[in-house]
Amino acid sequence: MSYTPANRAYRGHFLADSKEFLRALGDPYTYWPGNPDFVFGFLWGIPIPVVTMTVHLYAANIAISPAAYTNLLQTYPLYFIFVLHPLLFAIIFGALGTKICRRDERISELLSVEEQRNRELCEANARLTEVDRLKSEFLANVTHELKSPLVTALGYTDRILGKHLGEINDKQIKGLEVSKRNLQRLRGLIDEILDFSRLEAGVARFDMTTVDLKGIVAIALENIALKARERKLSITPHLPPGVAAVDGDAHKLCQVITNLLDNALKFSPDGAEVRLEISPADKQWHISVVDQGKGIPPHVLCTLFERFRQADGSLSRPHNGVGLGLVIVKKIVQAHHGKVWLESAEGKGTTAHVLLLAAGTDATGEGNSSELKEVAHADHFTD
Amino acid sequence: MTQTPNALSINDKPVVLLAEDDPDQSDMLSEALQDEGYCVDAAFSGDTALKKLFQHDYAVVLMDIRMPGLDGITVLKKYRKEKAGRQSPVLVVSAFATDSELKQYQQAGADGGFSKPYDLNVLLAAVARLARPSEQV
Repeated sequence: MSYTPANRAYRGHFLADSKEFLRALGDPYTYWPGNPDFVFGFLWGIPIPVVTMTVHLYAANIAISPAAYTNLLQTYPLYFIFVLHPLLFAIIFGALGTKICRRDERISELLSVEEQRNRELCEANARLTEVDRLKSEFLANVTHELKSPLVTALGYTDRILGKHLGEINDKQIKGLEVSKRNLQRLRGLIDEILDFSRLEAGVARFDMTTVDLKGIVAIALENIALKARERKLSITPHLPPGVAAVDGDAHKLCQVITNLLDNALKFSPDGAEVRLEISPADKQWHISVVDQGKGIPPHVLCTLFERFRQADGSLSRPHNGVGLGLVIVKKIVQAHHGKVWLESAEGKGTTAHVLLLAAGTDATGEGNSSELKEVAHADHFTD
Repeated sequence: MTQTPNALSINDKPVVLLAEDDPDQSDMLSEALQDEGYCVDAAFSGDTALKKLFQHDYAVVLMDIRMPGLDGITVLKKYRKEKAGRQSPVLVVSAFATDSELKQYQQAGADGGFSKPYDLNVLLAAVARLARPSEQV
């Protein structure tokens, strides 16, 4: 921003900051004929004092006779009028102009710094958006590439097993069934890793609606029924009367309950009972899944929500899985502003707890903070 | 999008359009469909699929989403918007089948969605329901 007469709006009161005025007196720009205010002051240096003096004399009602006027001119040196007044005015006006000019320069400097900062922020933002896009794209590619080979492998296994490609003997059937079961296991693992990656990369989408937890539990139980039957485990749901409504993504909440049940089944001895309970807890719904497994030692308990963690990470461990189930649960529950923690004693089984805000409760509301504080003791398990 | 008698059929076999770019998957599925008594017209890209959709009335369309040329969603939207007269039922078969994606396919005009890798028998049952409604109970 350069100094132009149009910028005089910045002027303010000319006595306002005397320090700046004194600094302007020392600035060579003040005395430069290219400074328009210096020229202005010089040109009006004669008429302004003369007009001012005359007006003052008339206002004071002092009549001046022509003789007195001539006398005044003769005693008042001419170079005062033609040199000193114009110079004084040029310097005063010039300094005022310089003051404004320098101030404008400072402002424009600040503005350009600000602009630069804004530009940098915009660029950083664009970079982040691009990274986000790349992450989604990469995940989409991985999804496609990992799942496509399974389609044909599973498809042909099914077709051979269905005897569409000719008769097969019992040994072949057994072999193919093992192959199919393992392909399905691979599909499950790929789904788990992809779910986790989508949540981790922040590209997972949550379709929030008001859903009934009881309906979700019914679907989760259906998902897990086959596994439970195979192991002769019984799952007993204890559900509250009426509707247990929460605001959330039905599919993802179903995944939470399915994963917790799956874990409970995995670590229960054959023939045991797994209890699934939903109870109201002051504007929240408390979901707990209780198993009768061998329990988890305390030093492991707090690490289970870290990715890839398993209670038994040794090569000889009896259970399968990549250790993402609980991480996925935690991420989904957190996205719903809920809490999840485990409670376990060795030899006495494990209980997984989930707290979800009841439908229509504002997650940031005052009312909830105290309730969330009550369960804060559980935090060290999850964080 | 119900089946009407004027859908394309050859020798009384309903014709299914199979839009799938992976040749292995396309072969596998078309063999399975032929075994079930369908004629299969295979399209290996979105453009071909769209062209074929405007030329014939298929009994059922199986649509992949990620294809060279046009992607499945674009093809489906264009077909639903611009094709006059009878429209074939479309089943989307894709590796991209999260809840929100399935909803998106439905909004684009799909009659059903299958996640890859699919259960072949379930998929064939769904095709049968759309292609031969009269034979269903």
